[in-house]
Amino acid sequence: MTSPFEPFERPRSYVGSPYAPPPYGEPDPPTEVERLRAERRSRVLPVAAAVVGFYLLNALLANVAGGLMAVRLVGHLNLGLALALLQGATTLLVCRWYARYARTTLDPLAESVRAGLEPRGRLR
Amino acid sequence: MSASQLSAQIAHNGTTLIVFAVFVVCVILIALWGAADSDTPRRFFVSGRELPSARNGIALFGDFISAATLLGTPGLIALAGFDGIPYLVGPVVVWAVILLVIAEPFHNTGSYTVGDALARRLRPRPVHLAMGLATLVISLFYLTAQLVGAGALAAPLLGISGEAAQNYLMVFLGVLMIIYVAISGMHGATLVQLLKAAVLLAASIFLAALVLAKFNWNPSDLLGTAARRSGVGEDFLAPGARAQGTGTEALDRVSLQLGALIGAAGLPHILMRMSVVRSARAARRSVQWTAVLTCVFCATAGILGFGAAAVLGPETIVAGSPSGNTATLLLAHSLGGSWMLTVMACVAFATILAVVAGIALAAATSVAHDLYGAVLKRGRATEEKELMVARWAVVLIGCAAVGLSLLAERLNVSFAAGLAFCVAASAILPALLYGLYWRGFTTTGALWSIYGGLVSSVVLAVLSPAVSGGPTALFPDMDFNLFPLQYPTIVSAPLGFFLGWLGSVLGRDRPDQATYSALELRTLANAEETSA
Repeated sequence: MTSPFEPFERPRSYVGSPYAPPPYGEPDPPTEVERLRAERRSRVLPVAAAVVGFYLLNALLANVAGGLMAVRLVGHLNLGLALALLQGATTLLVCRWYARYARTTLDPLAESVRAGLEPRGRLR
Repeated sequence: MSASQLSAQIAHNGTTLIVFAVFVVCVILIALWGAADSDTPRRFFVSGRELPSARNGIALFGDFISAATLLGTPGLIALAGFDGIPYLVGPVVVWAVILLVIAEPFHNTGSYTVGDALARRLRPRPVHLAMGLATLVISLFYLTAQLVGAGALAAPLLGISGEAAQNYLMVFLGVLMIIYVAISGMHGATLVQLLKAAVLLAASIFLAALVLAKFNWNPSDLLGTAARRSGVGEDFLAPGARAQGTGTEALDRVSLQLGALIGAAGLPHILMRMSVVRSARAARRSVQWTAVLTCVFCATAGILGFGAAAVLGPETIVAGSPSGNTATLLLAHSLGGSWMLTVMACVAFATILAVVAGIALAAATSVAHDLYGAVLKRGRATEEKELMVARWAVVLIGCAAVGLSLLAERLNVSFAAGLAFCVAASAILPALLYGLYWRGFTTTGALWSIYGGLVSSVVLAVLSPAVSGGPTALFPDMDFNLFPLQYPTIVSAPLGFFLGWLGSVLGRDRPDQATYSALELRTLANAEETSA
């Protein structure tokens, strides 16, 4: 039992007390804003970076490895032209993927964040 | 067939002028129709933020595809084969980047201009001033490039060739642009861009179908014939058919492609269109529309380029214009007769008109809203005054661009357009990305990045071989060619990013956590959906 004359001595256990700090190793579950930010940064931005990287890689290859790009695949279609077509196709695929991902994941999160904020009017 | 023969043939036709006149009257009627809907700055600048997403997406496509892509790129492909292909890939891929990284956050900041988006978290006056100046520089370069490019249409449209005819057409185009942007703002620009998008897609798909039909709908046949007629054989379809492969030139091409990709994501008139719709979801749908349309158009442009090489052969194309800028028109004439040529020339004119409208509107918005409203009047300008300044800014910017294009007729069109993209990639994009995504960004960082990117790209371009020190340069008699690359993006864009970071770290001002958190919440939670 702690003496009332030793005000700086802390109680052995906070468990159950309303002032208990979260135990180490178990951080707060992420808020919806944090989840939304994490989704955007860990999924959307890397995909965008990959698209840019693929484009720059093609630009470099065309200038450095011209012989490789001239390899013929079908008829008169060579690797360089096929890669150009592929970039158009990946762009459309990435756009489709993002639209679906945003509709199923980002929009509901954003909606619940907004619902939590609106009464307090913090957005105005 | 040379350009003068071409024009002579059309002068006989006579219907050209009538079709062209009908077209011009339509454009002016559109402007008057849109005038009533442009009575407040919000409606003049961004159509009241309530344009439907599909219409905005199609208009965005009309805003983006310039005469360089319609006339220049097929010409380049017809002459250089594979080396012209990257000019078609960049404009497609950029829409994935805009969709994923920029469209929704920028819409959610609720801005008219890029300066607005940054001013939500940084000190407003300096960033408005810096972004306003960067926007003006980009717009003037791009407008000048488009107007000079329009000169090439003088022969097929007016039936007369020569310098005087080109000047007439440039002045006429500039005046037309001033009239309808000043009268009807974003509303008129949207209508003209919709019209342009429709006629551009219809005409180019029709022409591409004619090309493919000629080769039994077999693309491989088309490529084979193009390669055979090029004189270099199968090398025509691989990199380096015409260009010398020195290290500097390779670096220059990579630099140009980098600029074409990331510069397009920083162009003010493209960004402005993100704000024209009601919600972030609508902005997303707009960009999806644009991505699909651009993809279709660029595939068509590739067919037109190889088609010109296969149907006409390089001698005819070079005789029409050494840079290949008339290849699409010659192809139209060869496949569809003079009627098709007239249609394509009008489409090209509409293309340029729609693009210059978008740029002039973005520049005028920046002058009225950033420079006048935020810097001069410190945000206390009345709506009527801001609108009046915007209308006069359209007139001034239009006159300046026409004057510049008359002076700079020797200007290489793709160089001026490339420079506009370069400034956008170096001065606007770094600050915009940091502003939207980096908590530690400060006003000092923004100013270093914007001014650093702006000054470095312009200075390096002035010192480049495109401006002096060679027979094809803008000033062939002078020589201050100190920088080896024509397109400085590969140096200036990383510099813009680096300076933005350095200024934020070294500057005395600390990042404002509270305003960033508010901005982040706004961009993440699609806040505009509720407050619009």
